Amino acid sequence: MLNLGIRSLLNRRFVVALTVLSIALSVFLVIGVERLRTSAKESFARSASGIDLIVAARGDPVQILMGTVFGVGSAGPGIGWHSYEEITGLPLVEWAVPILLGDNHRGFPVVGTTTDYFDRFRYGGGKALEFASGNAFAAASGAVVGSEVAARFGYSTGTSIVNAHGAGTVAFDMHDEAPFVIVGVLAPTGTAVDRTVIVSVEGFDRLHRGSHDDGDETLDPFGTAAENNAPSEKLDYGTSKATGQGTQQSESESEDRYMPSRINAVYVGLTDRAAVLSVQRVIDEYLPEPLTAVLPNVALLQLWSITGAAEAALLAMAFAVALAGITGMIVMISASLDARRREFAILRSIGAAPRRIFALIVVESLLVTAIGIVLGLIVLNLVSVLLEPWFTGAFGFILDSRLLSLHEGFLVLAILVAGAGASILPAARVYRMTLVDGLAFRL
Amino acid sequence: MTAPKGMESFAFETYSFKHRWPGSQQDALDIESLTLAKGERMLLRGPSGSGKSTFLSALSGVIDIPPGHVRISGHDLGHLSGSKRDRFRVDHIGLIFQMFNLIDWLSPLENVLLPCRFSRRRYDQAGPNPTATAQRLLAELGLSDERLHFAPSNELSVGQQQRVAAARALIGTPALILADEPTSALDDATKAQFIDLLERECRATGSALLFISHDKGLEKHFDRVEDMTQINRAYCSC
Repeated sequence: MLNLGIRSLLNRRFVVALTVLSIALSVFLVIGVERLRTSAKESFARSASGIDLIVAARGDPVQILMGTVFGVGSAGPGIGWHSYEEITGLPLVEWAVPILLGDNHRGFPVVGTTTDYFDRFRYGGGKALEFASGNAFAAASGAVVGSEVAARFGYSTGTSIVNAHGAGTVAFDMHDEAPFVIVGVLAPTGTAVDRTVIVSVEGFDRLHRGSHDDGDETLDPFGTAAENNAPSEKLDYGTSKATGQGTQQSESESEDRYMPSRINAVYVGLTDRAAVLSVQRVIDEYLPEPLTAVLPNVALLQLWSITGAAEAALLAMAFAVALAGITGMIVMISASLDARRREFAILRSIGAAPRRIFALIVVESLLVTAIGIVLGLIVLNLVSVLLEPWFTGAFGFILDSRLLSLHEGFLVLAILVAGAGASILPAARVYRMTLVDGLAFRL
Repeated sequence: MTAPKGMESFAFETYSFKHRWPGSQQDALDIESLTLAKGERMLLRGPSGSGKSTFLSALSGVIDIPPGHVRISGHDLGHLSGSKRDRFRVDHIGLIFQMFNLIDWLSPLENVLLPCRFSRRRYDQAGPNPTATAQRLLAELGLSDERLHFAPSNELSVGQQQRVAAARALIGTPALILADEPTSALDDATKAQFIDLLERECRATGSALLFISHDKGLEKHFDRVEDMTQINRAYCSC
């Protein structure tokens, strides 16, 4: 029956090919949308998985998460160094890493932090960062680049790079007076770290002092008010200028450890994860500066609830296309039935019972659907592989490049079942037709 | 099924068989008795409307028949359900139609082999290598050119198509070959050749042949000639 089905379809190869294409398109869209969705979520969840709390100036948790971990949107007004020290001193806090943001290197975000970052950052269920070459920075001018950055620009240890002010790809203000030398390249993680340039807090701060010595008002429109103000695209140095004296002081005071006046966020790890809510409350309510401590996973859930409607709409569209594809196939099969009455009569005359002809129609539909599914998946995987670099650069997450996940397998199975199920309509018609037509005597 | 083995001396038997199409006011068929012995070849003649097609439908098990009236190789068709009759048909009967016998998207050779695909019995009786048997049958029916066996079926001439259909009916030696005016679309030369070949193959395989035709001058190929107008009491020439 399978062989007969294949031969019969080959006989109508042009129409069948069109139908297969429409099914392939459906599968491409359904699985593509699904993969985009799950890849984004997985990728985001991986990036934040090792951090118990992210502390930043009071604000919206989703915005803080996006700005700090993923470098999307505003980095926030920043918090004072004293808050970092207070957080470090809290009970149950195992480690705390300061994060400075607001610069970019050729479109990739630059993060200023301490070497603790490399020891403490965890991703994808507890994996530590590893160096593909080199090691963490010892001097202020040292930089560590993520695998994606290194691959994109062909960087290796020893390369000298220059960062730009601002978070966007268009750099208005190059910090070319303060170059960095790459001392380490990280191994790929599949997280936002791959697209990051990591420098020391001191190095990050130094280049800003260099370029903003004059207190350029046009580059700093929000001035000192930014502390309790709307998010600004770049680090706010109002306070640092106001207490310029103090900065100089603190720098000269600490020989071994540089202390910037302001930082954007603190990544916090706890000794006991179960205490995360009470620590969050302490940070939110009892520290002198208005702060928000974000639970990354909770913020992610909030983010997904915001994007949920759009996802649902996208998925609904994809399923609508799948429905159209299957409808097209049923139309194709139904349209051919009248022309094939003779064929069915002949098959009956040589012993095919009506239910075998019924089965032939279902087998043909299954074949068309299955070929469409396979084609759709092949194209999808080809496109994923080809667009991967651009995609990661543009949206910051890794496309899942598995051939077919279990979940996607269920979707594919659903499409296959829908295709076979829908073919029962024309098959039932053929069944009745062959019974009425009998053999070919009267045709 | 009903007759013990070895007692099947008839290819088909019909006794006091009446049939009326649904919605019709009168019988289409009313046959007192008509039998065909094993291996016998019968020419059945009659004008259109004399009930030939209805009779063929009854023999080939397409229409529902009450038990006790029609037997094929000793099996009472009235005892078989619809789908069992489909299987029974391919096991015991080879059919040849007026025209358009072949499935276009299969090659002539595959068309010939179709009954072996649907019937274990036909497959088993087609010899150790059914494909070789099919090719031998095609060759004996004048289609010895192997290229024709694999060509698209719709590229064959009508005469060639009918001979492929004959080979399909003959493969696996069914007890009965039913031929429904298979020569009506052929010219006189191919017609004569076709009947010659069909007669010879039926002799060789031992299949009984019921051949329906209006054509004159075919009598010499058959053991018996019957006229539907005489057999069917439901027929009136009025």
